[in-house]
Amino acid sequence: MSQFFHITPFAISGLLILLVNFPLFLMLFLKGKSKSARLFSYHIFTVLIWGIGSFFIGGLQNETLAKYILKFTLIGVIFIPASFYHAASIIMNKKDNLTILFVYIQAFCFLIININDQLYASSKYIFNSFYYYNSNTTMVVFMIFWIIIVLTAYIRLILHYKICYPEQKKALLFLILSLIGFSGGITNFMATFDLNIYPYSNFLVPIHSIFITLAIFRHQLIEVDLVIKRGLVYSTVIAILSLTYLLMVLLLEKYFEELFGYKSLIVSAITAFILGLFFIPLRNKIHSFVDEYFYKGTPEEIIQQNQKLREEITRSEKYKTLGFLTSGIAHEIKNPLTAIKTFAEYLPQKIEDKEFLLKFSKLINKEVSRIDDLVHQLLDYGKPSPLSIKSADIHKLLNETIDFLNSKTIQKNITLIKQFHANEDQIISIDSNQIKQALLNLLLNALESMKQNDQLIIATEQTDKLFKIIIKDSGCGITKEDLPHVFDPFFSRKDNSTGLGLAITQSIIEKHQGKIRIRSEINVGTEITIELPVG
Amino acid sequence: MSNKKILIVDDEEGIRESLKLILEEHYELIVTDNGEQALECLKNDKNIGLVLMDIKMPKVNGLDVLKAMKAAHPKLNIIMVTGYKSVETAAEASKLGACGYIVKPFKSEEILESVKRNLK
Repeated sequence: MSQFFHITPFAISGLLILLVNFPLFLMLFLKGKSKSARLFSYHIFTVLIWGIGSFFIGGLQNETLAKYILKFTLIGVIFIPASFYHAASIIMNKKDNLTILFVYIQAFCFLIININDQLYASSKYIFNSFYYYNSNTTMVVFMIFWIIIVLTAYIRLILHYKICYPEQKKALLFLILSLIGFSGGITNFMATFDLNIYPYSNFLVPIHSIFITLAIFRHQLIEVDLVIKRGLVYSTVIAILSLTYLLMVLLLEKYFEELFGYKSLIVSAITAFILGLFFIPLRNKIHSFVDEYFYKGTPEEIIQQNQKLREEITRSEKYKTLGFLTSGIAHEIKNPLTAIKTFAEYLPQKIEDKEFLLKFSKLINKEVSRIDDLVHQLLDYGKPSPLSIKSADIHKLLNETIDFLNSKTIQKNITLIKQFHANEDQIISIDSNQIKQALLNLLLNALESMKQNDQLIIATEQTDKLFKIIIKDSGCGITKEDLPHVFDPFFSRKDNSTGLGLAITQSIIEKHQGKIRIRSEINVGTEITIELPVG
Repeated sequence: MSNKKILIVDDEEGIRESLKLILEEHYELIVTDNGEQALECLKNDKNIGLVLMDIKMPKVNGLDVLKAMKAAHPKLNIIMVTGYKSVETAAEASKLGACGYIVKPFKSEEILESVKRNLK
């Protein structure tokens, strides 16, 4: 360590950012399963560039070299807001392509300005310690954009988590902690002005990276969750160790300078080497300490912790489904309840009105059976009766179901085409009653979607392991927007439908270890394929 | 009886009959079970002073009908009736120009009072 490079607090903060962001970036980039994790890794990468940059900025004493580093570092800083905003939008599944385009355009504009050396006025030697940016008007505009974009992304993320995942209190806490870390990034701008504030808050930046990653990807990175935690503990401990090491080298260097009156690179290097020898066993000790005390009984504990996280995810998914089911039930029950309530309210004053009484008895009966039907369907869906598996002739079952609907096909003059390509007397193990119910639901849906004189194809195919039933209608089809929701409970676009039919059908097929797929095109028709395992 | 008519739009027979029962003694009513027909009624009858409409309807969603009604008749008062007690839906309805929001199951006084206040 010589006149070429000084270990300053700012350089140390840069090193810390580097040590935290590098493993985070690798984890997200290599192990992140979703598009958002990959995209988020780019954000962490931009922060990593700032870390590398601020390490060199804080230390370099050569003005020419410092100038290059200042320019290079700004590339990372320019893309911090854009990458953060983009990743946040993808995480929230928000379609705000125009805003994303805008944040990237502004980033590229500032990039061009930076390449032309116009983003800051000049370099200046501050705190008698290192070369830093000397601000100009462009820098002020850049800073305003930077803060607004990152803050907007934060506010949207916090609101999103508050509204959509109120049960994930930890995620919210992490987001807020991360915001504190981000404030450290803002204060780095202060030193570019003539304000006499040393950018110590750069030490807070790693907090931003750690907590934002934990908040958002805790669940997605389930398998690597522990690895990340361990990696972070290592990084932090190693960072502290490295800092102590550098500090000791620096102090000894100063001591020698005072003792001998000159600064020698050789003496510094020897000191660094000898100290390094002492530090290697210490570093290994810390590794084993972390392993032993933070993650003792490793394999079992890792399995246990993973199990815990999995349960947490399942619980939160269950809450979501429960919420959806409850609102659906509320709507389905509140309608008949409203009618019953209103008619009951008017009964005393209209007791002599025969017309009213007739309407009353008809309507109340109808509404009560509606609630009764709903309860039965819900019981089927929520607490499905166990399968009673027996060998059954599947073609015979199909024919019986089709015959059952004869009156409906005749009514609409539907041409029914059977294309049974599978073995004629194929026997498979199923619960005949439940499969019949599933087929009835599908065929009824198909018939309801068709006009007079349309055609309905019912086909069967077979492979070694699978028996396929294909129901293809030429009905009105399903819109692209609705298609992903057709198996959701209570989803329906039809009059007098609870929206439970397809949800029940899917659950029956899945209980048989089978699969159900749907393809549809508006005004062309819908094709449903059921695959059941043979044997 | 007010000379202005009330248009009731609901796909549920029970709700249509209930609203009829509450309001028919006091007001002239037009009843329909879907949004498209409701828009047609508004086009043909200039005497409609208030609309009572369900939010969840199978073909065209009540909020979409509300939007279309407000575009064609900006001054028309529309009260939305819904089974969901959700802040978001209420906010959405009010943003789209609904003047009221009634949650099922409703009380007859609630309907009468709301109608009295909003019928132009």
